[in-house]
Amino acid sequence: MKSVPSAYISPESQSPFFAIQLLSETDIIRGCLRGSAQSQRLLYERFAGKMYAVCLRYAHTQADAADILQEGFVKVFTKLGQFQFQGSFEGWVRRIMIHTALRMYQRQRFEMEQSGYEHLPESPVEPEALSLLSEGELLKLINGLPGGYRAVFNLVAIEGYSHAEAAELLEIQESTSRSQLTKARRWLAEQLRLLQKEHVVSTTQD
Amino acid sequence: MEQPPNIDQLFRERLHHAEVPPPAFVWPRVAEELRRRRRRFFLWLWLGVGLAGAGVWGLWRVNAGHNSLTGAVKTTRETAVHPTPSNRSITGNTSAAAPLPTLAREKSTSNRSITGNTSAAWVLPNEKAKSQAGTQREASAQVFYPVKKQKQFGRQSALHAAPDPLLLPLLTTKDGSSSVITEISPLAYSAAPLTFLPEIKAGLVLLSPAHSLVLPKAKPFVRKKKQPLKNCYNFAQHPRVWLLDAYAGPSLPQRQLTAMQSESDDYLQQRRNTEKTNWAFHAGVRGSLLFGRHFLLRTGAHYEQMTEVFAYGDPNYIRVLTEQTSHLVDGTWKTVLDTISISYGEHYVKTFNRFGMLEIPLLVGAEFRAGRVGVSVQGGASLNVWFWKRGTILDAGGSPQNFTPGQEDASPVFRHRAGWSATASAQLFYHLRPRLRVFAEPYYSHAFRPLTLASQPVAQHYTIWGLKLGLTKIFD
Repeated sequence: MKSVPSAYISPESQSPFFAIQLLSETDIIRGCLRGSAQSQRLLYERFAGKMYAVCLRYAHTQADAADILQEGFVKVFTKLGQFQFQGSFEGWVRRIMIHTALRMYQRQRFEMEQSGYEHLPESPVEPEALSLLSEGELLKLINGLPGGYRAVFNLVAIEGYSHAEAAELLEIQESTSRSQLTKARRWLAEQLRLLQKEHVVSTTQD
Repeated sequence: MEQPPNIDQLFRERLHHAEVPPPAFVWPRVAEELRRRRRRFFLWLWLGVGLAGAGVWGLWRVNAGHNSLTGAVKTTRETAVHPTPSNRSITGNTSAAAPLPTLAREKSTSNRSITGNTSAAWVLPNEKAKSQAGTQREASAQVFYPVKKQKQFGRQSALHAAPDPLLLPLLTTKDGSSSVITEISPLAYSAAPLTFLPEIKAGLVLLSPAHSLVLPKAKPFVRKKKQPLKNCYNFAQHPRVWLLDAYAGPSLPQRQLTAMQSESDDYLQQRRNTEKTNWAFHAGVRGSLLFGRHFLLRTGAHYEQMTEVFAYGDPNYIRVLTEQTSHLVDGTWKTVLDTISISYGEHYVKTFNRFGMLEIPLLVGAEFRAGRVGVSVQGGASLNVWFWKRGTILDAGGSPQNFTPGQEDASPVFRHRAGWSATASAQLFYHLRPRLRVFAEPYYSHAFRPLTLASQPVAQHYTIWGLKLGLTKIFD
């Protein structure tokens, strides 16, 4: 009998969840609806990375992001029966995460900083400047935004919400949402310009 | 000016579908939270099921009780019978000479249950044929209790040796006649208490006409009323009664003398040196309303008599004895005053000053009883009147002064009314008879206003301790 070389055995195939990883999203959801712990674990494994990235964009710290992720997934599993199997399940989970994150933001709203970034000079952002940064560095940039700016930028610029929807979610005026988005863009552009300069200097020295 | 939109697009492309591995501790927390919520859900679910089950069981019990009540009524109608000489009991205590019949139960055609609340007919097998023949007899009923007479029953009954009495139905088919007769062992009663619990509780009724034993409904449990103790009044039946007290006893009045001005300190000291409390007693009658079994309203008339000794010796006393003689000289009377003697010494005066005070107390209190003994505490105010004062005290000049009202040489010193007093007492009583108590009651009374008039340089207050010893009569 011809043995299979161990190098051909994928480490993922040794996982106990390897078999059910082949299940479709609908099967996993139905398993979760039946209360299957394995299906819940699988659903978590499938979406946790993406949702944690979402949480990191809204949270101040990684600990806050972990709390948001935990609370969001508990909501996902407890409200899974409300999912109508219409549209993207990932979008449904993402909305839950965003709402959970915004609820935490509302709780921490008093900590929101107000800075006069409107005086920053306007400067166009070179596309190369972003390509030089990793996702982690981009997340750090976003996390550097004040809370209100970060929420608006995440909702409007990244998630694609309209200013009206963002204003409703954040319980602010629509004009405020527009203003904060503008300020967030200016701040990010300035940070990117500085990072680009540093990158050029370091490249020249090399 | 709007920022070029490329920054939004660039961030969206890089971050919208970004994935960051979450911390490892998140999933255990999520799973634990889910388990906790599931446990909570099942807890509430089981609680709801339990409550619903309890409600259903309660409704079933209520309905069962209603049905059994109906069955009992039917049984009562069936057992409206008269005793006859042919009546026999399986307990053995009424017909010891004859061998006890086998206790048997006729399975009725209506399929009545042996354990249920419906009536079951019990017959003696040797008379079953007569019963089946439709012989009209007078019915009789005897109630007996198989559990209590179990041993006796067991010794005399042939069924005592029944080999298999413990198995249900604990009833074995006996005869070969057309009807089925089922025997029951005495051991069956003891071995299967649950099965025969209704019968055991209710006892059995032996019916003569059909020689059937009917199981009456057990009497409902009625808590026996507490028997009142001997010689103890039942306040539970009469929570509102009147008490009449008559008492007397010794008192210990404490007199406080206070100088109204500093110049009166010497006089105060003279008063203290010349007056001493002697003895006192009190007596009175008092009516009390005891309501709510424990609460008291008291009033009455309380007489307090105090005696003090006034003793005064004047060391500078000079007694001069004079003699007045009248002579008729030349038709006119002439008076001659002769000094007979002059004595120098101490003049000693001793009087017993007496004060009588009448108090009208207005007291509230509470009474607590345990059998024939009890205690009560009461307090309140008393209106006091010093209606009797007699005696002598030193006046401000240091001379004895009579203060007895109505006498010519008396000087006004004391008031007629001292006003209000604060009174409190605690009573320990014992019921000699249901309506008669004896009691001992230490009490305390303090008169707020001084007994002396305001013009007196020394104010005189009284605080009285005493012990009332008396009898109480109770009236409904």
